[in-house]
Amino acid sequence: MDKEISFSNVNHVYEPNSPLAKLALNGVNLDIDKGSFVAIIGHTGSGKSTLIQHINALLKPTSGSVQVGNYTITSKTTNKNLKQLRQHVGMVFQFPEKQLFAESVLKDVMFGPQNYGKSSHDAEDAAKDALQLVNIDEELFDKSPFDLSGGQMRRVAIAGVLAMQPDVLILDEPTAGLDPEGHYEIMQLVNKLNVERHVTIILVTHQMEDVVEYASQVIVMEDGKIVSDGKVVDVFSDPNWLATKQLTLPKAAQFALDLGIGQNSLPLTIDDLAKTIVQNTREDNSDE
Amino acid sequence: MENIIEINNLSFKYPEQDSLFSSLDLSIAANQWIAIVGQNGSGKSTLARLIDGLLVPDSGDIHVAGVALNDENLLTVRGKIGMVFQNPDDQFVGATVEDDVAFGLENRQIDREDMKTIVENSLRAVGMWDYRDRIPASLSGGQKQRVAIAGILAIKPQILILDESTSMLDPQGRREIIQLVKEIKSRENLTIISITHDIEEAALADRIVLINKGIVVTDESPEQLLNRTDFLNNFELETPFTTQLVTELRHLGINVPNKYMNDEELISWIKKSLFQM
Repeated sequence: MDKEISFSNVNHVYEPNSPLAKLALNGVNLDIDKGSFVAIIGHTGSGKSTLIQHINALLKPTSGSVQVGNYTITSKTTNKNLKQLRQHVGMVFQFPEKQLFAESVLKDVMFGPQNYGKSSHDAEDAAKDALQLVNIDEELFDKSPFDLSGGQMRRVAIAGVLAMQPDVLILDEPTAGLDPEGHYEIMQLVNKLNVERHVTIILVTHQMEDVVEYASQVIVMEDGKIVSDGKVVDVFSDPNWLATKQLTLPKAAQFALDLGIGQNSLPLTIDDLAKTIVQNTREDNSDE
Repeated sequence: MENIIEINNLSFKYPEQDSLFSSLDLSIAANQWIAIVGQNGSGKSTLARLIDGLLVPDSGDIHVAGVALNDENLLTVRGKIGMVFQNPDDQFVGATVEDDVAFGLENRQIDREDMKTIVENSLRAVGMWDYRDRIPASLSGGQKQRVAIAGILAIKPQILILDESTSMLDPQGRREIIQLVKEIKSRENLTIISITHDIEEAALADRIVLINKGIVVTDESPEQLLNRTDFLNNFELETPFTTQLVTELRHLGINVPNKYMNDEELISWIKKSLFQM
């Protein structure tokens, strides 16, 4: 498979040459394939946000380099000529609805493509396509984004990023603060972009159930380092190790542990958990 | 049991919107933990704001601890209620943790020495005394919500309203806050009203009130409500983990009792009935 993103020996120091200097990324090496679905997990302050901000050059490495498609980002990279990179890599920040500003839903979503040089006609097409993707009804297009519900506002904000038609989409806890239905809608959307439009997804999350359900690759961060990078089953195979990273197991796996079953291969979903329980059920009920 | 909150014949509508509540009745007994659940727009948070006098009903009346909620009694009623909102960043007013907790007391003209004692006790009660000199920006979301709760404990309310207070927290922050609420409820003799989307959080309550479009659809115990998967789905409520697992076990031919069990109860049932341990 083709590589989409590659970090080699990336260090990032916040406030270098000052008493507050902090090594926020420490020797990060990382490969992400085109079209993959990557989850990044780690305790608060482990470096997840710093890592993802390197992918569209909001932050630049203090040393080392980041390759994204045809772009190489190093400490020497200037802010000129980053437009194409930022069109290629879309970033959905935490609580993106805080960034809504325009007087109508449609204008808000059109802002990105217009800002990146599209005619207003093309920008409107891109915006409408994006709004359709996130399931925002046409009758809401002329409404103020601030009159929408929280879940709708979140989806409009995401549409603003999708209207740029990025090939890579980075999402920093995109469902935080949403109700279960809103959570499900956003995750289904992200999955659809990955499966149907082959968008490479990088998801920062605390929701281990989402990691299990959607991700193909999981990156675990601690103190600015990548401490694990692999398949979902591998990351969740060692509960003790996870606990040292202050991370939790998916609920099904934790339940199995509490029952004292499945130690060799922890069930990660409710289906698997139910099967593991049945396998451990004693059949001699009738003998009693 | 004495009702600490009595809502009678309450009607309310927002300007230029359809009527939200029309003749709503609800009473809450003292020292109960009640969860209010429902979809976005169902009126959950509006109800909390009506109880706290942040919104004024069009008609009907609300009594809080025997006091009628009206212009004259507004401050008396507010003194009985503490509210923790959703966004930890929206409710920090002090420059430090200690200042923030003192703020509510300053507004009530409490003597300085007394204030010091109250602030210390409140911060100790939420496990944040060691952080008293910290600035808000250096705290995690869960820690900020703890400080918000300390600020509320300082004014000794009888009722604590949690308006989606854990929904913006990571799983660890969420667990911390829920654990804290459990502890302080009995210690401080509080009535808890928790407005939440988290069904596992609602399961801790004595009663779950489900609101849909301003109408109380059901008002029952978690045990009664939480194993009704279809019903929960109809109102876009999450099915609790244990109920999902029980459904899956039934599919695999296991005969599980037809009642809601929480994690602990289901684990002990499985161990006893299936593993014969």
